[in-house]
Amino acid sequence: MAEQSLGSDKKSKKASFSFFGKGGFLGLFTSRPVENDPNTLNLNKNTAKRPILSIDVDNPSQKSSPTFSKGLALDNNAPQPKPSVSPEYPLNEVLVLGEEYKMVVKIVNKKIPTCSPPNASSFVPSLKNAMHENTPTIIKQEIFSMYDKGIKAKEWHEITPENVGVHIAKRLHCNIMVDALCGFGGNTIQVSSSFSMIF
Amino acid sequence: MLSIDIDPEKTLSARHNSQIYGVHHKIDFLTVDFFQLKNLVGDVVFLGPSDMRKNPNEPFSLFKHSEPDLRDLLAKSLEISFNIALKLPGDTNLEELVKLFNVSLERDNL
Repeated sequence: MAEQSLGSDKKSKKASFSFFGKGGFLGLFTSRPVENDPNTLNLNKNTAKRPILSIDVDNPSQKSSPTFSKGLALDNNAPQPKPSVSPEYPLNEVLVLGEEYKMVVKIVNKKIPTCSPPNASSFVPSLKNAMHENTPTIIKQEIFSMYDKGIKAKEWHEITPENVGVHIAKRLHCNIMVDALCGFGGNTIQVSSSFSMIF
Repeated sequence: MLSIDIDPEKTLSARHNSQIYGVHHKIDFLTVDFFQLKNLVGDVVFLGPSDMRKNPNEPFSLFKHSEPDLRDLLAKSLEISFNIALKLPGDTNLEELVKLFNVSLERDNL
């Protein structure tokens, strides 16, 4: 029945198994950034560490006791260092391709850029933020660009952000789409704005 | 575009949000259970199951943490179309996908 050959190497993930239909397409989009993603967390660490370093260079007398509050005060005056990498959503796109009853899974690693500026301290709509209901407005504007015009939503960590929705709409050329679990409509709005036909 | 959700509050606010973006004339909103619908027509089925994790440090598991269950969702949406798009959290264990397809395969053959 089902053949399964999943290599141990993470770089070459290929699995072949029989499938229940004819040639189908299965796209898998992982939209939410991982908590320990180096692109996200290192940004915060760098901006937190650099002002303390600047104290040491400017005033060597304070080198013995650089407190955290002084570091924050100098941070406002000093020009903020621009990180080279802007924040991005990781995207693992899984394509199920092939002929009848023989399918090959290909996993493609891509990245989608975010709307937020590279200096934004916390842009990740993470599960922790949503559980404590302290989702910052930067994240809300990242998910819905028209957030200021009165968007109603809860549970922000489950809504598809706009850039990911635009990517999904480009990727899936279709006329009729069924959104089984639409939620607050993050995905629905972006995909339907690309439709020309009215269903 | 056909958008379905059980929670009436979610579909109401989704309609409200789509009016802000000016695309509400292209979408039909239904507040019903997806599993009770029959004879649906569509090119692509989009599934974004909600995340039921209580511990955010735990990696997302396809079998435990999706609500409703992904196997039921896939079996139901394969009745509509063979083209399915899934949206999952970033820390999903992708090796579980192979297991997922084997399981839903057996269910389908039965």
